[in-house]
Amino acid sequence: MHHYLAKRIGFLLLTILAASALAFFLLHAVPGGSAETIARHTLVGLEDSVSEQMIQEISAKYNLGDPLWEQYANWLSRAVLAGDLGTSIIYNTPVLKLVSLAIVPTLLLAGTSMLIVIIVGIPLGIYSAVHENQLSDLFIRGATIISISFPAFWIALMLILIFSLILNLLPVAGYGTPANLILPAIALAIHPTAVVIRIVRTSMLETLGQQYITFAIAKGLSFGHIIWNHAIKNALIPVVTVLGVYFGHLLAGAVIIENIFAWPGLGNLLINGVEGHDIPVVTSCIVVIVAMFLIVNFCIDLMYHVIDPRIHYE
Amino acid sequence: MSETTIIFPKSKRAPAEEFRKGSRNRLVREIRKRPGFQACLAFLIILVTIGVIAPYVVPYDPTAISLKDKNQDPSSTHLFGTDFLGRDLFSLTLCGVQTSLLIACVTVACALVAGTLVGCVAGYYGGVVDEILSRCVDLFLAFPGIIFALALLALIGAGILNMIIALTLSQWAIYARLMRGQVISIKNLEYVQSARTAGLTNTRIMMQHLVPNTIMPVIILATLDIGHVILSIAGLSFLGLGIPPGIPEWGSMIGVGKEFLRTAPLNVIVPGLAITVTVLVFNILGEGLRDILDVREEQVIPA
Repeated sequence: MHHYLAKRIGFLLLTILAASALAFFLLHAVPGGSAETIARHTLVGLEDSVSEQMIQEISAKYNLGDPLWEQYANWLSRAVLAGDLGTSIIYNTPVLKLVSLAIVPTLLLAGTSMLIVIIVGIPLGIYSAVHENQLSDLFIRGATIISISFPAFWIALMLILIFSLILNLLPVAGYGTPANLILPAIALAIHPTAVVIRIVRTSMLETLGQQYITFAIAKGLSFGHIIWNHAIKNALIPVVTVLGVYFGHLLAGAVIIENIFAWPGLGNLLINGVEGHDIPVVTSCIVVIVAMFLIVNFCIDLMYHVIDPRIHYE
Repeated sequence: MSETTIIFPKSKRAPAEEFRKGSRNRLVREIRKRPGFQACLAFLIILVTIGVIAPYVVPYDPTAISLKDKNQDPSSTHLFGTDFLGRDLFSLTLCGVQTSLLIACVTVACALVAGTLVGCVAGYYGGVVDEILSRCVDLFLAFPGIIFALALLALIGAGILNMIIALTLSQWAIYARLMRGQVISIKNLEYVQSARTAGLTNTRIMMQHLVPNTIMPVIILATLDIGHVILSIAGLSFLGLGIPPGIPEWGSMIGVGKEFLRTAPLNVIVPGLAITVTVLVFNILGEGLRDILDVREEQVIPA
């Protein structure tokens, strides 16, 4: 077990490291490009032209002339040793401060959506499987396949149109009150909820076809008892993995949804960074999102043993 | 000639050949049983036709700006009304079919070829090759959803070709992972071993035996993935990162239309419905194929 844990943590750190390298090299691939942006944001106006001399001065100041791997090694060593992710070009503040302020709203939004996915998705999936091929099952299946086809950002705008602009029930955008959380969380949750309903349904149907269920029926146990005590526990094991994968989708989907609702999270920070060519912010946001995604999946892998005691780690 | 010289068991054909010879009738029979699948197939043909001919037959030039007609309600001259620049919404939406379908199909085709090759090589050779390729796949899968494409587009800028490159790079890994598993599951079967004993080169074994016999789940994944990629294209263009202004695209139409959500909601509703219907067609087709070819659901979940 300890051996397994050490190996998995090693792999986790390596993957985060590799992902950070990939993101860093991708975003720093254009030499001088970032120097021009820094000059626009700090020395001259956004529309003004940047002189060759300015670019050279800035390149020298931020070591942009160094080979990429040296820049990466510098960035990484400062990030790991001092927690210094660089300085934002647009805001002129440490990136670490911006990111740590943005993580909480993003986790709040993604967490609320995850809660909706679990509370709505799992019961509806079980209900649909138990009532296989009845009218309600057909309705749920139809609704899920349509929900999977909706673009989340369009759903967000439709929710704003209906609940904010026409009915005047909820605020259009903003952050701070629970009312602000409702629309973005629903918009973000619709797609993964539909996926989870389908996975739960399939898994539940497969479990109900197992011999031990037939045996339980033959024993004369009540239907409810079989569903609750025998089928659900086994059917939900594969669902946990899917929940982990879709947590990543929630984080990625939050990028667009946060943008619509002016939600001050990582996604908004990322998009503002992309628009302003603020490379340090963009790199850090991507690394943080990837790290959160990997860590959640790592925890889910570890939880497997708790959920299903038959699984042992080598 | 003695019986011992026969190397190949003659009665036992490779599954791909079996599929070619015997199952085509079965495929047609299964499709006949599914009216929903047929309707979607018909709708797909209509969509492709619209995609090809729309720029020549739409009533208005989708890029023609006429500010005096801006944000009009639906009327007999403008079926869905006009957008904030006075462009005809009906013409814009129809011309958007081409952009979405073209990018999505090219992206999925590129990702499928790249992923299939990598997955096949990794699964067939195993060992160090597999270890290196699998770690690469894991690395790309660590970027959830559109994050990778978003980072890449931020660097290389908007454009159709850039969009295809960014989305291909973010999608290829799921095909590689699926293909690798498929190849590993069949590479020790008898007909592959016989091919090896008969002295076929590795390339030929992969191209003639492994790929044809493992490609079905990959094709189902690709069908479902087209819908997923259309959603990603729309999302990235909505953020203003994907398609440059001037090319009709649903996501960017919604992106600019959202400023006028209160006064001209059709600017958002119509392109959104177009996206939903197109993605729905590919989702139903993919799921139909999955049922017909009897592939387990959790095997092909687009990531």
